[in-house]
Amino acid sequence: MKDGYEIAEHAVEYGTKKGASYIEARFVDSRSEGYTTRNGAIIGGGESFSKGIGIRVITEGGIGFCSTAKLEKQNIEKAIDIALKMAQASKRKTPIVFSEEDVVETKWQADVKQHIEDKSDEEKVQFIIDLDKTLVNQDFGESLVMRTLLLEMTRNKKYIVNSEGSKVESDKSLIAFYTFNTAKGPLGSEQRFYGQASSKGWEWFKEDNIIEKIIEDNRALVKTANQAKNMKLGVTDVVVSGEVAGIIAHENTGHPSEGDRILGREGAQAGESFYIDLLEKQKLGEIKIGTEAVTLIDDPTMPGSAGYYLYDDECVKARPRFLIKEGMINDLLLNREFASRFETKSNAAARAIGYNREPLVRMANTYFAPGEFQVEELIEDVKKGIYMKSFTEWNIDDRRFQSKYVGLEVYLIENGEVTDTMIRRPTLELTTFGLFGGVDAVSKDTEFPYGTCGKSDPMQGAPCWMGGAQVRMRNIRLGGE
Amino acid sequence: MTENYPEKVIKLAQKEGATEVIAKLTQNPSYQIRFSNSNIDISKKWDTNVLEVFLAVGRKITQVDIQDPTEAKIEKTIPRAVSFAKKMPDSDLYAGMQQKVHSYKKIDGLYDKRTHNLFEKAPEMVNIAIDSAIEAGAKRVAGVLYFGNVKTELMTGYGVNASYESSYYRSTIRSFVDNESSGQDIIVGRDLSDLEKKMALAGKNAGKIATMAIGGKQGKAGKYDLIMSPTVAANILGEITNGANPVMMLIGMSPLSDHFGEQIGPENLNIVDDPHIGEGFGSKPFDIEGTPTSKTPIIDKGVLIGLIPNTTPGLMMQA
Repeated sequence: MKDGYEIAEHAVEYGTKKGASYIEARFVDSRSEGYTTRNGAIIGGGESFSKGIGIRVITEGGIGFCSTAKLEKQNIEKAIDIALKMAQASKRKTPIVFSEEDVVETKWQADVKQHIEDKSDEEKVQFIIDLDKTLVNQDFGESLVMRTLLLEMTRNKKYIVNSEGSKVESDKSLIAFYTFNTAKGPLGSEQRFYGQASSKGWEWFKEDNIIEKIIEDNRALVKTANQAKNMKLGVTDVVVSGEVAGIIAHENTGHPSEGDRILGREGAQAGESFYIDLLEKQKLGEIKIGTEAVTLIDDPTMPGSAGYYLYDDECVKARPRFLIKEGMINDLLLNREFASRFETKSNAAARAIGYNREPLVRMANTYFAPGEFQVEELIEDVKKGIYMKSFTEWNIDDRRFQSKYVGLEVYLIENGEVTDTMIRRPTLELTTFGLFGGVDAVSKDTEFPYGTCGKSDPMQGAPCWMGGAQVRMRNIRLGGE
Repeated sequence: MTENYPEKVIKLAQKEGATEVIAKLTQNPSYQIRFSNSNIDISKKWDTNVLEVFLAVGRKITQVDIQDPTEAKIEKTIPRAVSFAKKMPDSDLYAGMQQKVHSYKKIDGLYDKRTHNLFEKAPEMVNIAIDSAIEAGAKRVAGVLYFGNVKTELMTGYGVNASYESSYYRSTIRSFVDNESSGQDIIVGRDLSDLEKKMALAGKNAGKIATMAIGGKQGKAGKYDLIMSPTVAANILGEITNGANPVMMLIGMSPLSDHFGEQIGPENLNIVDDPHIGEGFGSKPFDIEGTPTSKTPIIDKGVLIGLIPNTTPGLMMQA
């Protein structure tokens, strides 16, 4: 690691000497390992290592970026020269400026009891094979006709230094488990990609009951394939689980809250944001987007979370961002460039997925904040409605306004009780206002499923939690068969 | 010397007990210029120098990438990878690789050495494209230009020793006239001749399409005749060629799995995979095993007749 620290510090010194008004160097030492089984047999596995440096410079109002795994001074200097030259040639009409932030010198690390590299290869291979056997041996196991299990583990050690004097050292692990299974039932088959992840170590499987969660999720998949029936419900009340509320929070609020999308920087990549229409007329804190029951938070500082960090990739201290507070748009997600454009401070949303990628405005762990009710209380007030526990396909337009979520495990609610009747693929097809405007109650309990958030070009897949409380929405028109 | 690295990998892996080995070294200086709101946002340069290694011990397989390879990294990584493969169970999806040594057809137009210095002119070309879009009616312009060159060296344990150089550029330009109305054009190729003019034309097209989108009305659901532009048609029909991958078929992930030899489209539908088009973005003389590439009909008169195999699935499907 120390050779990487020295080369990062040299890069900052060299870039400053060559005229950069700002330069940052991010050295990342990564280890990745993964295994995949198909129907109980290993079909892939291995480990990989990478060490490299990513450097960002600002000069004459333009930004240049270069990255290399060749950690020699001469090579780094040549790369910085090209980055500076290209930044100068940008000839921007409006110069890029970063917000002023505190200078920090600190270290942080995710809390890990048992690092993945301390477990043998054989143990990890056997674990995934055994988990497949466990699924097959369940009373529903025969119905899982196609099973793909994936175990992925990474560890990133990072050192970021910039020309303002900030230095941040970090060590984060991520362990993720996915099932991509198909269950066959009398009406056809159902397929589900289910993921859980944490920044803990191997102890996560036990501490967070992951195996039990995987078994129960697959049980629900089989039950859906066997029992779900088409049903037209028209306008009805809808209770969604933390998983469904989480994807809505991520897609309908998290993405449109990203400062770079709002101001058009992702215009030819991930898309823009309908928030620009709102912000042209009103200020933050004055824009009502949902009922008072709606509070959505994005919080990188949640211990054990997939999106965990304490300082972002621009050396800014992380904090929870209240994207929606009691129905009002409250915080945007900002890095230093877009904080400056909004004339405020960064709230530490800058993340890069590797040394060879620029830091971008990203979510971390986005969730519906818990409310006051038990889930039973949400249900008992519903005369007729649905309880959507999980979702399958979804889509949303590139301004994040018109969205569609298709339910997977869904039950009919009648006279305040969840019945055994399962409904096949009902569709929530609403605008963001329609979704949040119908919320009248939120549960106390929470769950935090895992998702990889995709954005930008080249694509950067950022690990995130997306979840939170269970949510009741009134008078929703359902689509589907 | 970098050119000895693939050979070193092969020898070391075989000494450690690997029965089959592939070592592919890719050296790829590449660049990206991103722009939005009619301004360049960032210009990037990546130095990618990767040695990809596939190795088998019988039917036990693994794969490892060595970034910016050195002798020390190879000596550390390869014995570990072979040892790792030995611990793996036999793979259901591996049945051996290409064993013959071939000669390869040179593909004209694959490499334009001018890409090495394009970074000096590229920002100006992007600004020219932006100006063209604005002249055509755009209020603001976003997009990306990628370019670079790749040197690929391949060696296998069966004696394949081949290399080729290629260059590329690709650009997307999206013009906006308001928050809802936009138009887009793309260009892609390998030969830099007239790139400035091509960028300007793409900008102009994007600006023109954006102005045509103003006041667009919601379509009414129903049955219509549909004409797809080459970009749209290739995108949609390309999904079919993705499904014609035998590995995807073997693991049950292809919608075409049970339809080989069947009529899956109209008689006027023909799809071919051609890796020998000079300016073609996917063109290459050989695949990862050293098998010469060739033109492969996938759908002929609406019938699924071809797949894009490598040796393993090919062997498995004959079994």
